[in-house]
Amino acid sequence: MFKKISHYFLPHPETHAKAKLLSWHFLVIYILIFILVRVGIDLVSIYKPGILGVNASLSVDKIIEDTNMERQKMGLPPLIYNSALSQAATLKAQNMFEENYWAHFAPSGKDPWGFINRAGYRFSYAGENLARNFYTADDIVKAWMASSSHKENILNPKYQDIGIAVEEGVLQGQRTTVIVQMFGLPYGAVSRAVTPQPQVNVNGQKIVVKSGNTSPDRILRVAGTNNTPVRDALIDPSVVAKTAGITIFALMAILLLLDFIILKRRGVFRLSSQHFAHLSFLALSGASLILIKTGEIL
Amino acid sequence: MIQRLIIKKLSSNTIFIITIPILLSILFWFRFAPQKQFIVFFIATIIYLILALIHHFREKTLIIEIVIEYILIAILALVVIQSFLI
Repeated sequence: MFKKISHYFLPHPETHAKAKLLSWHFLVIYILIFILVRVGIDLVSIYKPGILGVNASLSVDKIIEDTNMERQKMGLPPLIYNSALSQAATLKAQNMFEENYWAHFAPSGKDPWGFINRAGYRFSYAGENLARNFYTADDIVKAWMASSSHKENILNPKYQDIGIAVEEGVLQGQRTTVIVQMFGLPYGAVSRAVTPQPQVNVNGQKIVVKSGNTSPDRILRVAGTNNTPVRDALIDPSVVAKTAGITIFALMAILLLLDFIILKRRGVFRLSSQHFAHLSFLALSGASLILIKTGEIL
Repeated sequence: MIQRLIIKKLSSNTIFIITIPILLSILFWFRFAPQKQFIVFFIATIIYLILALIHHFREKTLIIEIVIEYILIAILALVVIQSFLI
């Protein structure tokens, strides 16, 4: 019995064949196991919304502070907190949970400048950055700065005001904290850039707001939102998937090391793949998994 | 002959020893840019496959089972990593 089990972990004592857990059959099984974990996460998100997700406590002040630090590095004036823009950001975040979407434009056709107008902020230039599933404010701003379109918003000299919303809810089956960052230049304010018509910068695209888009009948109604009730998420899905991935990589690395040591001790030659190449690649894969930041920006 | 083999082995392993820290540094550099991270990891996977195949071709040990093993390990790593980075 013990012998049979040991063949799964150690090279065969007579034939010196590789441990069964390192055979190509098991490699296929590992791939399938990981795919099953991902499918399982998606299924739980669909059928048990709110169980999976990220519990984060993010400070609005810290996000503004980090954003202004990035601007100051470039010699730009800091953005001033604007309560109307923050209200617009809150309306946007609530609407994302209400309509269950992760995009700048709602499935119902609602657009970012509609929320800004609804909050009573008259602008000649505005922009929007989105983020979710982050644990710290630093990571959010760093992720935005790593993306050219979001960086363009943060470092845009036209903007004077900033508004931030940090809203918790259930989005696409997973409990999450959505961060909406809105920038604006008030209508009539002096800017380095002259904009003849109101304009918004969404995901790097400069969109001129037509006069019809700001009419009162397009104003959003967000009062009385019927979001899924928010409670603390039990499990962070990215932690589950990362753990599964690292476990598979670690198991393979340990078995490869054992295989290498035992074959050396036995002093036998076996026609097989290179241990060092596998170990190096598995180390790189494991390190990549640890380095990966799981937050999303838009 | 033995010397040549040792040099070959050394060169193959040396390439891995040199490239792994470089690739890790690049991955760390792009830690807030997931798509770039995935491109770097994909390139690393290609390097791993090419180096492995060249090594076995030179050693005259390039058989189908070994090729499948390398390809499956590469697929496994790509499947795991892509689910976070794309």
